[in-house]
Amino acid sequence: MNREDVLNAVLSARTREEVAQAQKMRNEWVKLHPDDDEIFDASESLEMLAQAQALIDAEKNS
Amino acid sequence: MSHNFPDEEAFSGYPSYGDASWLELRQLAQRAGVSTEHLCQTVENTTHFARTGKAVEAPEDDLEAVIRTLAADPDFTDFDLEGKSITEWHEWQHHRDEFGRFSDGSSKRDGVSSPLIPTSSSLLSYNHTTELQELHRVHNVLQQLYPKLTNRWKGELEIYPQSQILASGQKSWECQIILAQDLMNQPVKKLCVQIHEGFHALSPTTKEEYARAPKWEEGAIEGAVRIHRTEVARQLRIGISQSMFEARDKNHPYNRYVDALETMRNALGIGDVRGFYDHLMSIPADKMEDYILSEASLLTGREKENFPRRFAVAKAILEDRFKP
Repeated sequence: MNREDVLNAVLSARTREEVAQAQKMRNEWVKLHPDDDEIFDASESLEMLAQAQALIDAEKNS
Repeated sequence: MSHNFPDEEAFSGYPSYGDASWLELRQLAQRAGVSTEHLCQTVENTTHFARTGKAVEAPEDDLEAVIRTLAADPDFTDFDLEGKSITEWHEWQHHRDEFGRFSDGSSKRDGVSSPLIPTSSSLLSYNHTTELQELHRVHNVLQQLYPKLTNRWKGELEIYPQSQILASGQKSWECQIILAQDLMNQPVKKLCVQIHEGFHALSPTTKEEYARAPKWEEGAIEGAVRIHRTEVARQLRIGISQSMFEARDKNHPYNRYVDALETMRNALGIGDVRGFYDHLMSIPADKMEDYILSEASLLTGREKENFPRRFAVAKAILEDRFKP
């Protein structure tokens, strides 16, 4: 797993599976590279997407 | 593609500081209850003393005079600021010891201790009330920029280490704003993140619409940030120059999305940059493509002929199907 793979996964994730996989890759990456600001900046959209999907799923199940 | 939009002009009217560390000193001076000039003078005097063991005499509250004095000192040939102006302060040129105190850079000597010089750990300290008040001020300016949009921010701010929130900033779907603590000593980036997350709160895009077109939203918002941030900084009396903003943008992951929208704007022949982004800000993310295509339907001649190819490439970037 290199940086480009992580960045692309974080930015291009759309489905729930892709989002979960991207979060996993990102988490592993930032453990080793806690100062990688570009990855953190890119994660804003990933986290908003993950939260949106979780809330949509929760509303469907309620 | 350049991110210097035509209607953006370099910030003027306030001192244009050389980089974020200068602003950091300014904030620290405010916290210490002294003038920026006084803090910098103290820093320079103590740095000078640490390096040479010789005190420097300088007029009170006059940093330029301090620098001139030091630059003219024949016994102080290795002084970092020699021949420089106050716009060229660079934090990395001023060594700190393990406690964050300014030192001569040698591990064998004690750092300089001064009640006016904070330790490195305190650089990341913050006052939540102050940060919240600051964010309210930012939002007041944003609301003035978009009086027709409803601000859904609940007025709540959470601050966590970047390693915990795993992003520089976020606007939750409950409309709280979350900022990384790491931003607290990065005023340029902090202001951009405050505005970016603030625009998310003003955006009419719902979570369902965002899930369908996340990068249309991010590209439009980041484009709007880059257009309006100079005005926001001016209104908040924060001295940030255009070059400081550009340095922040250099490796930003959303550059590709701003570029894609710029490609579409240019393909449509829309010269009103602010009007273009302001309109995108006013519609849900998953309706932005419809707006672009409705504008394209008015094209004629060569512009009409060239539009589909340029649009297809830009759209692929916004959907992350094509890596620029």
